[in-house]
Amino acid sequence: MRIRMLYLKVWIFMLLGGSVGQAALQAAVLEHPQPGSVQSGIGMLSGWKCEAGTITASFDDGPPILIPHGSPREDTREICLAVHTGYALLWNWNLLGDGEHYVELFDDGVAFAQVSFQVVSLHGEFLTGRRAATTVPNFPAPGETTLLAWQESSQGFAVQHVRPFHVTIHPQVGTPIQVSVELAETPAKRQRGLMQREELPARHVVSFSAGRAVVLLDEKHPIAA
Amino acid sequence: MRNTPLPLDILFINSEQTIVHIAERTTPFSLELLPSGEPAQFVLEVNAGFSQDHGVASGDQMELPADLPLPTH
Repeated sequence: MRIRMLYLKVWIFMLLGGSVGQAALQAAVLEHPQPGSVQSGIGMLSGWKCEAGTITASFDDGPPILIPHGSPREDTREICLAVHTGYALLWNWNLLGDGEHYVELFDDGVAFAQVSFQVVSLHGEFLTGRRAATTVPNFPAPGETTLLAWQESSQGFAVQHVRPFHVTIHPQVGTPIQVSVELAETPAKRQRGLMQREELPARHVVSFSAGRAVVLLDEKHPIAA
Repeated sequence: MRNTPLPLDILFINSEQTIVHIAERTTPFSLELLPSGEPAQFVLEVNAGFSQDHGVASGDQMELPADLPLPTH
């Protein structure tokens, strides 16, 4: 779709008196972040430009930051007649702070792309020492569960696996039973030292309608009898 | 069973993945407390009648996924 839209731009450029060669040289796309998107943690500012001098980025009119250009992008071969057109900057979005921001890209000082986006940071620049995981049921396909786990190095959640999620019960009599489950996690709450079913958050009820759920209690502070 | 529209069998499982207690055929929307009775680390909630239908009882061993994420709290 991006390439198709770019062809349209090139065609318009030709109608305005340009040549295909000139159009290709000027072709550039900022792919990430997308306008209006929400960014958090460490990610990429990236896109491609057929030909480039020195590409820089300016966040919120701040000082220019050099962006390497020339990574392979086979998908730009047709439009650019070249493949080493990619540019990317590894960037900690948290540095910008919460709220709305924009970034403008320049090639040898000439602006060629701008985008506004939101930042949601997680308590500062770099969150350390935390662990968390959650599942996304029925994603990417019905009956599949995607496990996401916190990844400190990227300051975000990363896909750990996609598969049917199940537990196995070994009855003292009979054959093992495999049960597909959804995973839910709840803070360990105590009442007279015992876990009370009533204390589970209501959101877990959603899992019940599917018939089965596993709830994790607190490992560090196991329920005491 | 507040907010829970269907009856469940609730299996309480300890850190050794042994079922320590089963609250069978719970009452939908009931405010009755359902204690685990013993230390428990996991809960498996299944449709009511599952335990009886499959002969599952306290003392049975569970096998949870090896990469089950650890609680964070």
